[in-house]
Parts: sequence; C-alpha cells; structure tokens
Amino acid sequence: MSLILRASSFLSRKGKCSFCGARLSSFTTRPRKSLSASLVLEDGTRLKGYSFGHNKSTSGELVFNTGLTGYPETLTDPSYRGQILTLTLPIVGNYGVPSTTEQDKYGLLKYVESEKVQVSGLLVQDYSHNYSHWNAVKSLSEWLQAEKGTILGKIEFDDQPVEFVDPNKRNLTAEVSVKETQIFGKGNPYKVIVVDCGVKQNMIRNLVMRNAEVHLVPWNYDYSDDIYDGLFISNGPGDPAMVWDAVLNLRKVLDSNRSQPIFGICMGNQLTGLAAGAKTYKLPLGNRGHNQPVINQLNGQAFITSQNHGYAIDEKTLPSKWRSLFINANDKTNEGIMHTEKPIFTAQFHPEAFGGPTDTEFSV
Amino acid sequence: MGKPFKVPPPLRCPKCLVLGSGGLSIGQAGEFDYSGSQAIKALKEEKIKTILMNPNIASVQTNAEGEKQADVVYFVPITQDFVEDVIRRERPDGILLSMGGQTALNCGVELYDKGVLQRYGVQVLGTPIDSIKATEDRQIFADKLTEIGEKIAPSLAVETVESAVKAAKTIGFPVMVRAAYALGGLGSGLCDDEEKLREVAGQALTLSSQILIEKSLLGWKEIEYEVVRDAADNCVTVCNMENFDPLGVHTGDSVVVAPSQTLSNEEYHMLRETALKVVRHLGIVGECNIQYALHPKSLEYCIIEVNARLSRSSALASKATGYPLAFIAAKLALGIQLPDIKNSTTEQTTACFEPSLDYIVTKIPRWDLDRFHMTSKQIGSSMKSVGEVMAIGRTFEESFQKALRMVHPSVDGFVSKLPSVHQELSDGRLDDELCVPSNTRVYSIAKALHENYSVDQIHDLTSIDRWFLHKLHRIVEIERDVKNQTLGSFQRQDLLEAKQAGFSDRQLGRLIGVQENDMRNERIKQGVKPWVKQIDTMAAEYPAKTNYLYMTYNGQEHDLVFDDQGVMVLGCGPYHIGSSVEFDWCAVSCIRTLRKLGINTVVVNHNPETVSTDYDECDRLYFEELSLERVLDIYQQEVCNGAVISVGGQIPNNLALPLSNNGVNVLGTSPLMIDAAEERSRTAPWRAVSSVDDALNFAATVGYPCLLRPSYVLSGSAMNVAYGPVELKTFLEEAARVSQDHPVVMTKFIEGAREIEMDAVAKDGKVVAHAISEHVENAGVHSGDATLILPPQTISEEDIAQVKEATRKIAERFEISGPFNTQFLAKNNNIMVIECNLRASRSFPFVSKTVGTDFISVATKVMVNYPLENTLPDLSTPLQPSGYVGIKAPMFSWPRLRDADPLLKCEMASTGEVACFGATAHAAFLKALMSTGFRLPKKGILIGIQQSLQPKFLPTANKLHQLGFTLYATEATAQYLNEHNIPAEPVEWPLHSGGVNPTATRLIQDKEVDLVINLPNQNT
Repeated sequence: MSLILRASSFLSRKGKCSFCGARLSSFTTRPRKSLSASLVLEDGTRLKGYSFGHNKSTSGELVFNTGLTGYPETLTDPSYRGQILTLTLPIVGNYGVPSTTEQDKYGLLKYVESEKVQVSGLLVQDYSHNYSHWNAVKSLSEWLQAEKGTILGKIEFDDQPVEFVDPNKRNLTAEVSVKETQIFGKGNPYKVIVVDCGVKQNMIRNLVMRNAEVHLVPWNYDYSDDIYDGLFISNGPGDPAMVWDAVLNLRKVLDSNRSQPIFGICMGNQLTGLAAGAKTYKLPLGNRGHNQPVINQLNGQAFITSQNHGYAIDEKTLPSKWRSLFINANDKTNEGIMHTEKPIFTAQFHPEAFGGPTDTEFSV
Repeated sequence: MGKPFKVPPPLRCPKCLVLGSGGLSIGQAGEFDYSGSQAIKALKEEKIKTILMNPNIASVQTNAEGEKQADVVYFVPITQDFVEDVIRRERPDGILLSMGGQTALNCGVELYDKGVLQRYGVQVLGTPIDSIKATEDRQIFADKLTEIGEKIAPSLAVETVESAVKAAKTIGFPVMVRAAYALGGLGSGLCDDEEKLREVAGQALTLSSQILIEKSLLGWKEIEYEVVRDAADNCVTVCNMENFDPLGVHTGDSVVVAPSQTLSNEEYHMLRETALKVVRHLGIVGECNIQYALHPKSLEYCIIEVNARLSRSSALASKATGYPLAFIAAKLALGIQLPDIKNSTTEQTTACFEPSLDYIVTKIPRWDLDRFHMTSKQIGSSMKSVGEVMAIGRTFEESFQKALRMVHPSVDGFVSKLPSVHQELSDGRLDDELCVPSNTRVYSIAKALHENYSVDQIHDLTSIDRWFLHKLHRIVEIERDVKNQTLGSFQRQDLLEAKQAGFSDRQLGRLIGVQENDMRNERIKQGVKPWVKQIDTMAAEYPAKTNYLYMTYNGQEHDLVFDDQGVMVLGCGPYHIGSSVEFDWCAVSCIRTLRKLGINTVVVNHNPETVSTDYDECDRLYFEELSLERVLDIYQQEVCNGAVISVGGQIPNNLALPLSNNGVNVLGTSPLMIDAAEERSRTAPWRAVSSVDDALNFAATVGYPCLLRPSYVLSGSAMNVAYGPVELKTFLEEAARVSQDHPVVMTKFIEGAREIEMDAVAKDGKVVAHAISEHVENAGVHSGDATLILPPQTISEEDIAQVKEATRKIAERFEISGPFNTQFLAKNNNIMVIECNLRASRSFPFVSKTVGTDFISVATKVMVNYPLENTLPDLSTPLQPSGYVGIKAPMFSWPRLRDADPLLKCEMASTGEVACFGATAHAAFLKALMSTGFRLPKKGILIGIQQSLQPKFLPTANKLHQLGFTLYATEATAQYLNEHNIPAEPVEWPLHSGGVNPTATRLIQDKEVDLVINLPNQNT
C-alpha cells in the first residue's frame, strides 16, 4: 500500500493527472456519450475525468512515463503489467494505433511489444478523438475498448467500487511470461536462451537480427544444464524478489564454470544482481521515460536511454568480482553491472530502444 | 562496451572574442541577442575575459555593466577589416562564431580562409571551420551525408528537355522543375509524368538556359531537431519540432509546434538517431539544428539542412523546453563536457539529458508585410517574418489560440477576421487562399471551417496534417455551441470547455454579445480560473528550481505558492516593425534594476527571441499573453504590488488605462495622463477628425500637405502625408480600419524642417535626466527610420533652449514620473511638438549608452520611489556627450522583400538599427552605415537628381569627380553636370531602353556601378 501512497504524494505535489477522455458535445469530434470516472488515491484524493476506453473499474499501482511518443509500444510493454500508467505528454492518441497483429519476417509483432495491452489503466490529459497517421488502423479508444479488462482514464466508475490492490504483491512475471519454449530465428548460428520475464518483441528482434537462434523460455525454466552460446535475462514487471526461482536458476549458472556470455536488461539486471548476492530496493518514484541520461563508467561517455523500472540494485551490496558498469547521471542510481572476469554484462535501461551501445555488448 | 573515444585535452582560453550579429534584419533578428547574452554569461562564469563586437546598440549583450556582461564592447561593423583590427588590438586566445548568426559565421570563415585567425593564433571555439564549411557547401554536405548513407533531396541541373526527362527518371516522378536564376519562381512547376515534364521543361528553358530537376517534396512534413554535442562525443537531442505548414514554407515563416504531434515512435526515433549520426559525423561541437522532410505516408525522409550555429529555431527550442541552449553551447565550445554541466533549471540534475514536455508549445510568426509597399503576401522558401511569439498550453487548441492573440492583440483567437489593415479576405477565392501559403492563410482556414469545408477538403488544398485541422475544427464547433448561449445560460462545464480550448473572455463575450468585463466576472463567479504551471524541463520528474511559468485551464492545482508580492514588468511582445530589441533592452534594464533594489520581479512576455524571457533574468517569468485578461489573472494571482507598463513599448502601454480601471497599481506616470497624451487631439495644434468632410475642411484651412495619424499606434502604422484631397480620402479610409475606437489626428505637414528627439525621465513632473538627439534627415521620415546624431550638430543654442523649456512644461503638465519621449520640429527658430509618448522609446538604449547613464534604471528607481544619484543629466546640464559623437542608423531588410518599394515615408519600414561612435559626426556616420551592410564604392557612381535639388548637389558631384570616381547619370542630370564641367556618362532608365546609352540596371548588374545616388521627384 505504501507504494500507492508514494505515487499519490507525487500526484498531489504536481497535479499531473488531470485527465479528460471525451468532452460534452453532440459533434463527432466531441462525443458526449462518454462516462465520467474518478481516479481515487490511497490518501483519499479523488480526481474526476472521462473515460475513452473500456468502462470498467480497476486498480493498480500508479506510475508515470515522461516519453514524448510511443504509446502503443508502452501500453504493450509487459513491464507495465498491473500498473495504471500516467503519461506526462499532454495530448495522446494523435497518430492512432497501428496493426497490433501484423508480424515481421521473424514472426515477431511488427508495431507492438506484446500481444495485448498490459497496463491496467491509462491516464491522459487530453485525448485526440481524431487521429491522423498513414500507419494507423484504429483509434486508441477503439483499441482500448476492444481489449476487455483494460480500463482507461479512471480507476473507479460511480457504480463500480473497487478495492486498492498492490500489483507488486502478485507474481506479475508469471502472468506475462510464455508458458512453453518458443524459437525465433531458427537455424541461426548462435543459440541464445532468453528467459522471458516479460520480454519485449524488439529485444528478440535485435537478437535475431544479430544471428541468434532465440529460445524463449518460461521465467522459471531451468537452463543450467542446457547447451547454449549465450544467456539473456529479459525485462519484466514488478518486484524482482517475487521471481526467486529465476534467481536460483541464474545462481546455478553463476556458481558453475560455464563461460558463455550472460546479458540482462532491466529486470534481467536486477535478477543478475540478486543471483550474484546483491540486494535490490524500490525507488521512490521509479525511472520511466525516454530521456534518462546514463554514464558508462568504463569510458565516461554519456548517453540518453529509455527506461521503465521501479526497483534498482543497491551497488554497495555487490560482492567481490562484480562492479557497477552504468550509473544514472541524474539520481546516481545503478544502471548496470558487470563481472570483472566473466563475460557478464547487464543494463537497467533498455538499449534496444537506443541505437549504439548494444552492438558490442552481446554479439556472441 | 562503448567505442573508446579520444577526449581532447581541455582548452586554454583566458581571453575570448565573441562576434555579434549586428543590426536586426529579417532572418537575423533578436534571437542573437539572446544567444550572445547567454554565451557571454557562460564565458564569464568560467572567468574568461570576454571581448564583444556588435554595433547593435539596442541589444542587452552590448551592455557594459554587470558581472554577466562582456569586459569590452566594440560598436563596429562585423566585417573582416574591423574584426582583424580588434584581434590585433586585443589578441584574444579564442573566437566564438556561432552566436552571431550567419553574419558572424561568414565573417569567421572568411578570416580563417585568409589566414588571419591562424596568423594571430586565435583558436575557433566550438565547431571547427571544416565542419562549418561542410554544412554550408551543398556539395560537400551531400558528399558527407552519402558517406553515412543519408541523403539530401536529390536535384540535377540540366540544359535540354531530353536530359530533363532522363534526370526525372533517375530521381523519380513527381519532380519539381525550377528555372535557374529566375525571379519569384518564374517557370517552375510540378510534373507528375513525362508528358507534363516535357511541357514545363520546354517553357522553363525559354526563360533560362539551365533548369533544375528536383525531387518533389510537396506536402512532406517538415521536422527539426536541436542537437548538442561535446568534444568527448556525448550527443543529445534537446527538442524536436514539427511545422504546421508542410514543406515549402521557410521554417521561420511556419507555424511550429513542439514537441512533434503527428509522429509515431518509429518516426520520432528514426529521425533522432539520424540526427545524432549526422552531427557526430560532421564533427559539430556545441549546438546545431537539423531539418528534415518526412514523407507523410511512409518512413521516407531527406535531410534539408544542418545549421552549425545557434539559430532562430534554437532560440525557440530553448524557450520551449527551458534548456538554455546558447549557454550550454558556449560551455561546450570551451571543451567542457556535457555530463559535467548542471541543468540550471533543476540545479541538481545534469545538462546531459533530453527535456520532456508536459505541455505543447506553438510558435506563430509576425509578418508586417503590409508595411512594405507592393510586396506580395505569399510566403515560401525565403523568410519574410520580422518576429514571432510562443504560446504554451496543454491542449493544441489552447496553445494555438493563445499564440494567435499574442501575434496581434486585436485578434480574438482562431477567427476569420484579419488583423491587418491593408488586407481583407477576398470572397469567392477561398480555395486559392487555402492553396497558396500566405501570411493570412490561417484566417482563411477559419473562414473555410465556418463555411463548412470538411477537414479532408482543407487537407487536400493545404496538405496540412489532418490532426491539426481536426483540432481547429473543434475550436470552430465550440464557437458554434457558445453562440447559442447567453451570459445567464452558460453552464460551468461549457465555460470550462471553452476556456480549456483557449477561448478568451473577449472572444466569448463577443460571441454572446456582452462586454469582456461581464464575461470575466461571470467566469470568476463560476470559479473558472486558470492554473499556474511550471516549465521544468523534466515533466516534473524532479523538483524544479525555476520559476518559468504559464497558465492553463487544463489542470487541477497551482505548481507553486504566491507569497512574493513582487512588482510586475510587462515585456514587449512580438518583435515587429516599430517594436524591436530596444524594448527588450528597456525591460531587462528595468528588471535588473528592480532586483538590485531587492524587489521581486514578475515578468510577462511571450517573445522567445528575447533576453527578458531568459530563465535567470527575473524571479517569476510568465510566458503569457499581454492582454488585459491574462495580465489581470497574473496580477491578481500573484497579488503584485504594482505594474510597470512603460518599458515594453506600445503593447503594454495600451493596457495602462484598462489595467488601472481594474484595480492595478500602475507604477509611474498616471494612466490618465498617458491616455491624455495618446489622444493627441487634446494637445495643440492638432485636430481630431471624425469624417471626411471634417478632414477636407481642416486641410483647406491649413493648406496641403497634411499629416494624418491614428491615435494609439506605434511607428506610424497607417500614418501618411497627403498632398491633395484624393490622397487624403484614401488615407482616411485606411486609418479608420487601423483604429476605429480612436479619432484620426490631422496636422499641417511642414516641409524642410529639422527634427529633434528628446528622451527624458521625470520624477513628479520634474525632469531628472535628458538627452537630445538630432535627425540627419529632414522631418517627414519616420523617427524609427531616421538616422540620429547625439549630441545635435546643426541645431542652434536657442532652439535647444526652447526644446528644453517645452520638455520641462510637458513633464509638469502630465505630472510625469517615469520615461518619456518627445519629438520636435525646428524651422525658422520655431519649435513645435509633433509627438509625445509617456513611455520608454526606441532610442532609450542608444542615448543611455552614448551618454553613459542608464535612463531606464533611473526611470525604474523613480517608479518605485527610490532615491536617485545626484549626477544625472538634468535640464541644467550641458549637452552630452562631449568629445565624441554617437550615430544611430536604421537597418532595412529590402533584399528579403522582393518587389517592395524602398522609399521611406512617415510609416516605419526599418527592421533594426545599429550605432557607432567617432570623434566626428562623419567618422561615426561612415561606421554606422557600414554596419548596416553599406560597402564603400570603389569604381563608378550612378546619379539621378530631381531638378529642384540639382544646384545643391553640384559641390558633392564635383568632390566625387575629384576623388576619381567614374560618374554616370540619368540623362537630364548628366546634361546638367556636363554643363558645369563635371564629366558624367548618360544612362537610360530601364523602362525606356532602346536608345544608344546603357541602362541603369545593366550597369548595376555588370558591377560597373557600386553606388547609386537617387533623389527622385515626390511623385515617382
């Protein structure tokens, strides 16, 4: 519950979540037929708005993202599972929604990061009822209405009271992970095991493009005796401490003499830290957006990254032979670790959303 | 693990020369005062001795006092010779070229090419010269891009129809055909297929021997990114912007929004990554701007250009995001790395980040094309606007309507009524008005929506993205709903909806037929009030220290508390003809004085090109409308102690009485007195006329020529001299359109009189500081276009005494406490007042810097009742300065305005000014003239003098002859000169060609003539 309270203290400080889905009018650009709903925070704050999505009450952890574009990608990012997402970008829906089923040549979804909308709710300041984009097939509103169980623009409808739920107490990873192993890029020379804690399509695409045969395995799959050329621990939602099986599997590998490279992103970074013996903690607000500056501590170079995480590794608890690799230039939190002897690197941010650094880091 | 990058060693640069941009002209305006000022602040913070060259005396950067100012300022032209001279004297270690626009950049490149910089060991700071050249030279630029797999819009030059077809097939249809060297796009045309191409190319080749076949980018989106990169290769994009107008309109003439609104994640990041790639490859160090053309229906794009310097766009991006681009760029130029620089708005995070916006910014240009006679209102690839405004909102509708009002305070919002007096929307040609981009197209779109054009129809005609048009459509729909309301029937929800879509009280009042005040009262009664929001560069992710603010109805609470009770200072609004950087200087001077006195300042301005809107100039900056409604909103919310309205020019001055009537404590001279001085009819010898008969009668009494001017206008808008009854009638009609609420004032126009300008400050009706300057031109040229000399050179002691006496009386009569400016005519020992404004005038920075006393600082102290120093130049002190002469000369933008008639009249046409100093008036004048771009003649001079002035000109002609110039003259003049034994070759007027003699145009084109002296008849 304390998590929601923190989010709410943020909201009352900045008042960021004024939201209006639809407005009152008989014209098509301003439909009057939208339901009003309230955002209720744990501290009792109640803010009124309109729904432009599926009209059903929901609850979740309130988080915000400061990215300036990319709502179809963000809404389908499994890391947002169970969360009510607030976009600080004020006007949303402008370019509609591209095809959510079209696949690329690798069999991966072309325009979205997973098969469905992962957030529990979405809060925006101004919704564009009329979208305009050559690549759009539907409006954001239509998409959200079609995705039953996804609720937008409010927490609670007048006649539908709903309890506060802290999604971080659930094993969200298990909810979004594949149930059986899937293979992408079959026949490629390097076999890479990808542990699916809530993987984004683009991560798999980046691996396949670099000649990897990706074996996407469930989050709790034990790969310690499998043959592979590389191991990749994906991103995912929620508290890393909730997916202890994944930590134990990884620890088996770390404790063995296996020399294949290991790479982790986001949740993968935290799980690697935990497996190595370090501790993680919850950040007061989390870092979510496309503008997070990160410094590579090996050469001092800085770059801008896409991020979405609420937890971080406590650097001070890193055991010997491990060191911090990246650091956030703003709040100085850990952004990645490495092993000083083995080819093990992880990143807290999402390099797949950023061009450069991936190239050298995990060509196997 | 990241590429190893060789980080260059830190620079050693204890002394740095900064080049300014000179006088303001179209395409190179106030934004370079902002960039230069910030750069100097950054250099001073690093304890670098800073030398500035800039003849723009009205700029803040040329101030000599203060910790954040340059150590030495040279008021000299930015030309090779002068820069070399300064380098020789000062021996700087480094030179900064990127802060003074194209002028500084070009001058620096020339100095480098001539080896001057190398000879004196001056290092170019920031982007190296080779990189600058790569961005300036089309061919090198295209080659550089090819190296990294990027491209510019393909274009091929051909000389036959067959090669045109071949070129088109290489590039791919549709193609645009352009005739090379043809004026005004003559002979250009869009070709969809070979047949059309053969036809257009055939025609174009009859006009020009060479034609260009270009890839057609018609209807493509225009997108820009602002990028910074340090010497260690850290590189971020600070802001991206999207043009409302599709490609084809110069970005300076486009409506622009930030951040982009119609780009998907894929498009946004594709262009962002390209920007980083290109900037790294070119080796930019500091700031640059990259412009793209993006296909509206695919991921195809071309790079249009890269500007390796601070630009108009970077000033906008800086104000739109709160990221001080010029400041950061200067630090990067010194070799400091991006992660080591603090984000000055949060004071705790790094400058190495990309701002996130939780609002939308709209920029709209200000044109003033109606001020230039005979120029076309169409806009295109060459920039014509003179200024711009920036509005912040949380819906596009709110931000857009705010911006429209900011550009022209007389406009209500997104409406079809034009702000300009010389133009009207023509009926029946709406489709044409929509098709062709012009300075009035946005009003035509409003008209079309009101006439039930669909969004698709308008899109087909304009190629403007439907997303923008849908939003505009929504504004029109809300307007229709509001029209059915009455003051009593307005529900809170509907009122809030309209306000959230950016409707003003006056606009709503007009729709339902009530006064603005009644509408405002009803709104406040219903509890519909705007919220104050902070711009913090981080979308509130980290707490901001900045007080960079805007108001919106799309919010839930204020971002800050209001317990400062500061003094409000109203800024100048958009730069336009008659109100330029000089009023920003006045505002900055006022704000700095107040802060020095320990008074909190609340500044309202919305001009992104200004220094007064810099993040560190005031305590609270409202990037807001200078309207009665918004100024009251802010004043009441902030609970200010008082408001200064006299330092921002005419826009804030016009608010004096309405603000005062609404309970605002207007500091300084009483608004009633300001009003009395504005209603010119109340001071003799003027007559207010309300009908044509009135005017004709008055003219008959005093005789022609007569001067007409509307009250409450700045810089002679619709001001004219009528030489007969027909002209008088035409001018009256025009004046009535400018200002219906106030009468037109008429007076006898006096020919051959000298004009004297008095800038002064009074306290409780007593003059405490004054400066007298003289116009070089005789009365009749607008004071903003005139050349000023300080101290006067040809005015008699008696006249000066009379001027002082009149000034004393005026100060007393209007009980002036603050700045004021009076213009006098002097003829035959007679002194007449022709104009008096109880506010700061455009000559305040010039006289302040020339005399060495900051008049605005004095006026500010008067207004807040602070004791004055006793060394001020009051009326009893002799003329100042002594030992040197200051000259202020106007800067015109004629080359930008093809077809415009450059003849000066009482309506102002200059876009900027410069000032230089010299031991004599002539030395100062020559420097000032050269600063405006004048080149000294070397070969031939063409002379054309009207008959009445020929005798007076004879000695001058003789001197020119003796100096060894070849003289050419129009036939009558040549004959006259020859008769007096001055050899002059006759030439013909271009329109009368066919004779034996060469025509004037040919001589100019062939560069036989490098100076033309033309004193035509009154009616030519």
